[in-house]
Amino acid sequence: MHVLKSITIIALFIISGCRYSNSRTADEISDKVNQITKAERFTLEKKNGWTEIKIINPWQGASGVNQIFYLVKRGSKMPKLPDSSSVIFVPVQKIICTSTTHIAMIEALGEVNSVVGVSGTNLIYSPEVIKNVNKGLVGDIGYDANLNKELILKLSPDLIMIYGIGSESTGYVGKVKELGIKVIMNADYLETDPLSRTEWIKLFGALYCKENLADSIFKTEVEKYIKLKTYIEQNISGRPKVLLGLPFKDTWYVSSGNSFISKLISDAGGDYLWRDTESSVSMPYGIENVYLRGLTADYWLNVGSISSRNEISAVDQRLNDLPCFKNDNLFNNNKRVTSNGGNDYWESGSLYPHLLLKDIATILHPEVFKDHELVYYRKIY
Amino acid sequence: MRKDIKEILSLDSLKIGYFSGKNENVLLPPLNASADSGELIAVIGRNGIGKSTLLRTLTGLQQPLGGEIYYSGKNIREYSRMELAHKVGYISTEIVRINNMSVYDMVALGRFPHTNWIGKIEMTDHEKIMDAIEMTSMKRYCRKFVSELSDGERQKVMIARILAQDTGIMIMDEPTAFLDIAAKYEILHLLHLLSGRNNKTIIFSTHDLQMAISQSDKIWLILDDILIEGAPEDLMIAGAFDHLFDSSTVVFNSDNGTFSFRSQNRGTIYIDGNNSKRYWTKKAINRVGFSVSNEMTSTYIILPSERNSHWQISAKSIVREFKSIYELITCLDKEVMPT
Amino acid sequence: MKTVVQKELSVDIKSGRNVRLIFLALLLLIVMFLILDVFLGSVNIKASEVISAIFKNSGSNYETIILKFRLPKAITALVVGVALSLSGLQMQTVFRNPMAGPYVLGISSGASLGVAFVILGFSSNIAPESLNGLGNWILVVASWVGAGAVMLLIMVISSRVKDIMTVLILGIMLSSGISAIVTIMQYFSNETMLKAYVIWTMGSLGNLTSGQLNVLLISVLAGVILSLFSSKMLNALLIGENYAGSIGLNVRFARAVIFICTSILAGSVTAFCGPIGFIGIAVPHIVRIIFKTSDHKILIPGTILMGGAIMLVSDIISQLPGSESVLPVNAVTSLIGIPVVIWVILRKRNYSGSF
Repeated sequence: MHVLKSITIIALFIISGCRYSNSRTADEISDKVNQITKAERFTLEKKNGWTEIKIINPWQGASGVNQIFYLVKRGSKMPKLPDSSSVIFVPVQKIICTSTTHIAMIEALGEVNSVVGVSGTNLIYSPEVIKNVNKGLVGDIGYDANLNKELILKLSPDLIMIYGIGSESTGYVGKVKELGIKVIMNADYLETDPLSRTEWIKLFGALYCKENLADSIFKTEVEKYIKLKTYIEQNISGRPKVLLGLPFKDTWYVSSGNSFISKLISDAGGDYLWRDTESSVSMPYGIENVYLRGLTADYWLNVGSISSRNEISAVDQRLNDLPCFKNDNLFNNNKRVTSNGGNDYWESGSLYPHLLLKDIATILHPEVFKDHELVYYRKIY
Repeated sequence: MRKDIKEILSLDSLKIGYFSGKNENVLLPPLNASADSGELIAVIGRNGIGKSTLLRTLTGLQQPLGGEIYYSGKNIREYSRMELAHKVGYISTEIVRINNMSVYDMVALGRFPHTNWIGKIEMTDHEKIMDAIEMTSMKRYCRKFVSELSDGERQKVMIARILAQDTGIMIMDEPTAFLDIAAKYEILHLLHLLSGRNNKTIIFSTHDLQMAISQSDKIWLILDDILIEGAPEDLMIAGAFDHLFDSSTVVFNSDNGTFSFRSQNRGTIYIDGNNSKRYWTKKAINRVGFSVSNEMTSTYIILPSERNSHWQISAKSIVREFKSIYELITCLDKEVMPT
Repeated sequence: MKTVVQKELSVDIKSGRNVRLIFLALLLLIVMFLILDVFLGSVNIKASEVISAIFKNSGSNYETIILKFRLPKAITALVVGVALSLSGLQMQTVFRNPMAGPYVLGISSGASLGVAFVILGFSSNIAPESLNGLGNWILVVASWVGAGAVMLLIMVISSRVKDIMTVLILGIMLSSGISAIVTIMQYFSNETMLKAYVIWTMGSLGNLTSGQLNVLLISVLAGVILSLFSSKMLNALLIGENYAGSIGLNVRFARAVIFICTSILAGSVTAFCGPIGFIGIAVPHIVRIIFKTSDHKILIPGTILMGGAIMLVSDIISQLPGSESVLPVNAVTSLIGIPVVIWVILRKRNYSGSF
């Protein structure tokens, strides 16, 4: 009897252990945190002697495009790789980033001094990086087709990380690749789920050999987010309607229902007016339509980059008639901005979505979050 | 009908030309000439000498480089554009291509100086327009589009326009350029009528010497160094036209005002017979290089007569017959050797 | 002679009657399209609701849309169509070129340069979108200043240069040169700024405040009145500047008046609505074909009516009634205008110098 029990227990143990190790291997192979979040545009696999990163469809409309990189630790034995031209030696010591989200993640890992080049120094929020810019340690390499390739060469980074709007982006860096500099296309902005974007910190974790730190940051973030989301679900009464954006002349580019901000609003207990739509890009709607639906909005968020009610009136006087305008329920995501126009919402916002969630929930349900002071958002007067 | 004659236009040391950049390009030495009311004046000169420039300068479309132009005693510079348009009408060789413009509308443009601010065609304007169209025999084309006409017909429409403009002076740059012979003379007749009956002063340039000499009251002959003006006959007598062409191949016959080719002299031939066919037979043998002899030659031509309707060449007692001058000359040209 | 004259006049009266009929038809078309443009739009509003929105003061949402969005937009469309077509007609006559349009003197290039300075020029210093908040009066003024500067340059050139063809070519070269400068500015911009600029170039009819609409109306009215005075001059210019001078036209003065008129018409439209193309080139051709005349006494009012009608149609189409999206109005005017232009060219077999 005892023996049977022991064998059963041991067997169960072994089985559950195998399952556990299986699932751990599964985690390592595809690195997807199950259930709640899935970053769809990259995978991370730990192999024997290297880490394999695969970036999937890194631009709008791409299909079947994969970029594979092999991360090999410096000083270790060079393993046999399917394609040795895609090797990146880690930890990365010098990096050029074209998006400020990259900077936030690198800074979270404590590697802010590795940033030697950016696209548009005026768009940076991080005070540390700005200090480096002022010391002349960070170069501005320009945008898109106009990348300053000579400066890139001079900075001689280990890696340049770009994000591309379209397939032509690969063309911009062709010359740079020819010169032997590794180029990674970062597709985090294409992730529509808030936590999916955060998960990209694991890419940086692998690049800086700080996987554990990255993992823990991500895990903490996930926990906080899910906890907050659950709390919201349980404590709110009613979902206020939310309007977003500003018109450009006759046309209002409306975020779709499956966009990043739409999901945030939904998780925060709001009802985004166009949450039923699905599109990979903003939809050009006639101002009439948006106005009509906007009349039902209780709150107006992400109002372009304006800072005052007057600016809204200046864009189009008819917007003054919207009840959310008349009732003063205007909030914009430009609380943390530098004088040059750098906005932290776009920088560290996707790294700490639970803060975004809290901000928006506070706006939409002030009675539930009385004590929270808005981090990224501010009320517009 | 007594014509009211007065000097209506006078040129005083007029220097015409144009500016190319800062340089003056003077075409001719200072010109002096005059025109009276009711005169039909032909401007003659070789190509490129500046006839068109002169006419444009007289119309006020081009600035003279020096000298003065007086219209009815008043300097052209003192006229406003509109005042000048009441006095002087102009046609050039420029081909105007417009779609959807009827002949009536084109002629109606001539009333521009006379109509009000919006260009409304009143009854008097309409009458003048229709008169002008009738005078140029364009009545049946009245509603047709100018773009559908032939070059000659279009030219007549332009002439009608200048008629409708009803000016005392009409300046025309080669008005008969595109016209066939019949139309040429029709227009010339019209111009003659206008100058004679309507007392208009008409100054026109032409290359048709015959026409100019036979019809105009006065000729302005522009040579390289001087402008000679006078009645055609005066100029003929003075041999002025001889200098028009310095050519070894063309010769101007002052006695009848024609040009002929200076061809090689192949000999003389006697023409037997004196009837209406003599003149043209003579012209034909001149054409192939023979001249007419006053005395009998060994080879001679016999004109057709009541007895024989054929031409005949008699050479060394052999007589050959030809039905036409064409056959006659062909034979002459090929077979007869110079004597 | 009298009876012949009577007969001729009766022919005139008959064709005059035809012309009057066509004018009446056009006027009816405009009224119809104006009504349609108010009834149709991005939002689906039932006809009965439209009517009650206009006549009853219910304060409903639909009423706001009709009165504050659609009605001003429809009036803008009408006015824009009139202004651009009229200036296109004048340019085609002055330059005796069928491809000329309101922008041939570089007005839209000048305007785009002004706007580019504002939207693209301050690249590093101001957050790109905040310019949106500065309001469209800045863009209007910048656009006007740019267009005005180019206009002045053209006037100076025109007074010095005798041959109108030279003026045309210089105008086109000036246009191209300015466009090159704008291209350089675009090259150094990021996506947000570029997007804002590109959207300006697409043209928009629905963005005017009532104050701006008033200014536009007054400017276009001034331009229309000026053009009526220039009708006789335009007729004379048809036969070329030499002949025009010989029948008494002060050519320099005529050029000045017509250029000023065009810059008022096209400049105002571009300042408030961005550059809107092809209407100015296509409509005069349509009018010439319908009326079969070259007399500007008829062409000018005809162009005014036809231009208004076609612009209204373009606006209706750009609203894509039935769908929530909209098209930029420039795209629609091109789609309408280009086939017309192609057809006009193919009709003529000999096109050199004539139109």
